[in-house]
Amino acid sequence: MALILDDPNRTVGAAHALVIGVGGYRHMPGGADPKDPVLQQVGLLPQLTSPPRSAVGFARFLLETKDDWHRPLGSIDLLVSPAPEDPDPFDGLTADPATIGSIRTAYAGWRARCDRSEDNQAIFYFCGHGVAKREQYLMAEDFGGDAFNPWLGAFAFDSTRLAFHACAAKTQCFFIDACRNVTTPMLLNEPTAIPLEVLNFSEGECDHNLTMRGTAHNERALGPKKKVSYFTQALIRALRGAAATQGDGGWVVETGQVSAHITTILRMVKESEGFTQRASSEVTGGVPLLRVSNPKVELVLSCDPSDADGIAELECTSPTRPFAESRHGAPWKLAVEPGFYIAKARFPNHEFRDVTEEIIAVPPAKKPVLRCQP
Amino acid sequence: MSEGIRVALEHHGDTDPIPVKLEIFDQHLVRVHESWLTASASEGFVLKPGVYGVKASGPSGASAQRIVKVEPNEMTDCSVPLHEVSPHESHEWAYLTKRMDAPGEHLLGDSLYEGAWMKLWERTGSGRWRVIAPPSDPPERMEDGLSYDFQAPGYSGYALQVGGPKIPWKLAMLPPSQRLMLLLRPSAAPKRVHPLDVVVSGDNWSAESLLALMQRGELRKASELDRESQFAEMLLYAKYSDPVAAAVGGYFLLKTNDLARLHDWARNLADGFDWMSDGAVIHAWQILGEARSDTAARGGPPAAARARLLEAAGRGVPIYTEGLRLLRDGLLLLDRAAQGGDHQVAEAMASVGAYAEAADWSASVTTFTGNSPTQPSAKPRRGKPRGKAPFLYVYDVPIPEAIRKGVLEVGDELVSGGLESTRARVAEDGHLTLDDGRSFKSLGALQSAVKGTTSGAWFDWKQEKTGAYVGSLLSDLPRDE
Repeated sequence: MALILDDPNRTVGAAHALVIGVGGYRHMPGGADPKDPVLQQVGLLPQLTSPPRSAVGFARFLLETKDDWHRPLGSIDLLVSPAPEDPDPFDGLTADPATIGSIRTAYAGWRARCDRSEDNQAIFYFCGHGVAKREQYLMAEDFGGDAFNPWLGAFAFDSTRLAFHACAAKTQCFFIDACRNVTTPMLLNEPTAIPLEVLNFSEGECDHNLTMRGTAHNERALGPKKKVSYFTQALIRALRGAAATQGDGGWVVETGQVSAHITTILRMVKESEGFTQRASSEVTGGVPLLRVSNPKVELVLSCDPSDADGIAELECTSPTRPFAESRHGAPWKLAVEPGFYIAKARFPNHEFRDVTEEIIAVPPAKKPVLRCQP
Repeated sequence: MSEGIRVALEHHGDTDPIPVKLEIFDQHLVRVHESWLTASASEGFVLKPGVYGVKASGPSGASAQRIVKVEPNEMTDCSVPLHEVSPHESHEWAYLTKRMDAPGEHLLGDSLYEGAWMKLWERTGSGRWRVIAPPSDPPERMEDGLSYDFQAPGYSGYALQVGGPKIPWKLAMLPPSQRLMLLLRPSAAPKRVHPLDVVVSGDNWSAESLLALMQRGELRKASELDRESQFAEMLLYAKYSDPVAAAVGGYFLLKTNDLARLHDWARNLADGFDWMSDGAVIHAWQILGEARSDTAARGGPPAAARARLLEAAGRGVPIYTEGLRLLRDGLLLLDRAAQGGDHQVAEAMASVGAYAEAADWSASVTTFTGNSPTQPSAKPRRGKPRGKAPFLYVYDVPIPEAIRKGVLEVGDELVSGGLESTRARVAEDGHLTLDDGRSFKSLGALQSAVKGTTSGAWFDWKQEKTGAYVGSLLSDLPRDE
């Protein structure tokens, strides 16, 4: 067990996190002990450098913000298996390897900590290889250790999630950053991975459920080499304030808002044309997760038609406080405080119509299009 | 005289009944008013002098806003341009009620969509599916989307299928409704996700709004909307006139764990409408939920829930994605409880699992790639529809097909308007040739070469001998029967 945070004063009314990142797959090509029969049964699953960095990045974020959570962080258990190509993604943190055995052990300990009080909050994070058929299956470092049943090194996520509803913690957050497609060999048979916990019929759904997956069904979750994945970047950004909403006592990030804005924030993280990764979520209830200060809004001004972008004289002002910026040409991206803004596009030679747009800028982003068709 | 703001929403008439969330913020972004209005409403609000932000959002989250200064002793008029959320009047319903990606750069005239088609399936009384003729009203075709507004032929299961030579076949379940609205548009990144977005709505805007809010995870707003109007119960109560909307009400009450408000309606919905599986799914989860809260009944899943889930699986795929998720999860529960030993459950799981594998879980209605409503497939076909079943082209018709159906003839001259008109001729090989010898296999390709864009292809070109726009000829293309 690698508890990188274990606060004995925060066992009740606290958040408890289990963070798993798997990049090194021992029995897949490029691993320490590759097994050909496994490759034939499941297809190529390469070594990954992003998931370990993503898990460490998420754990670091939890540590940095541990006191800002509505239920302050009481414990963080970190399991990481690095890819051979990137052996030290740990950023100074300690972690156990993410084998199926250590995942099961850590899950049991984490679940027990969460189960101490209904006021606790559970946070489960996984980044690594995943596939989805009838449900999503997540692979541990030693996936394929048994060549006759490689799925003994994986667990059935949807069944695990359903089972965890029986835990006393009323607020339960699961973040799964893994692919949801299948390789061609997997089309033939349903994987036989089992859940981390047996389903208990007598327990209903938890009061506040936020279960997010980094990508849509049949699609892949992507990440840059040796860097935090796009979904995890978006998740951290959302929790830092990009999904913040103005509550009675200031800016807070709520479960429903994370779900509602995550795909927009994914697009902010990775702007390139053709990047279409879409997160998917299941939400019930709704509860503040953490408070944030000074959230920013990404304000992007552009013109319609786009021919006007190159010649527009743009101006952005606030009607309620001293703020005025201007520049030549669109699109124009600004990071601004939440508030009211007036955007103007002017065309001194009258090629297009001068326009004014009134903007209520709230996180995560506002992208007004200045319609200046003559 | 008091001061404040008088708010009116600018929108197109068709979207009148769609609930719109109106929020008024002070300059610190503290919400000083929030309520749900219908798009046709106008309302006055008493506010202290100051600067305010007025925001109107559809259930999809698409919004329009204004900043207003309230002066002492004045009511300030504030007109919020809600229509600006949509590029076209006929697409406004979709932008207000469905989660839509920003339009991408692709247009239906692009070669990817050449020969793209759609057809309509109907579930017969015996539970089989057959292709039926699309309604006679022509769809409205624009380069960035085709919209189709029609009445379902009756009360049964319906599905729309799209496909094309380069487009994997995909089906979307349709809620049978007095008025069905479809929007087919190029997806933002056709090479990564399915090339065609299929957006579907019935005309019960209460149901569609609850569905949209649930889908976005905005349960707080959905509950507010429900609280203001008791939508969910009303939908269930009116199940005999609109069982599909009643199913949405049922899903909402399950989602909010408000089982008491389901009363006996879920049972009646399941018993009364055997052509849809949603009612049986909802009733199964009501039974499961009630069993969980009954401490005396602790044990395995109730037999009645198992029976309902098997019944649902036997009826076919639910109309709504939420139903597919609950059916899959319910069978998963049963399968795990029986440790794989319940063969009926395992069989149902295999059948539903095939839909789950091929499903687009981000869609509101059950949407999956597949060859027919009963043949979901994660690796579906591409190409023309097989057999003689009727279908409609989405946008760009292959020229040989237009010739075969007598809409164009070999030798026909097509002219593109303007002072410097361009001419193309329909050649024997089914291509369109320009005077300079260049040859194209579709009007989109011709337009792209001549004008640098596929935009407007079917509306810039006329058949010289008749003066008819090629677009209108396309709309009248005779169907195979």
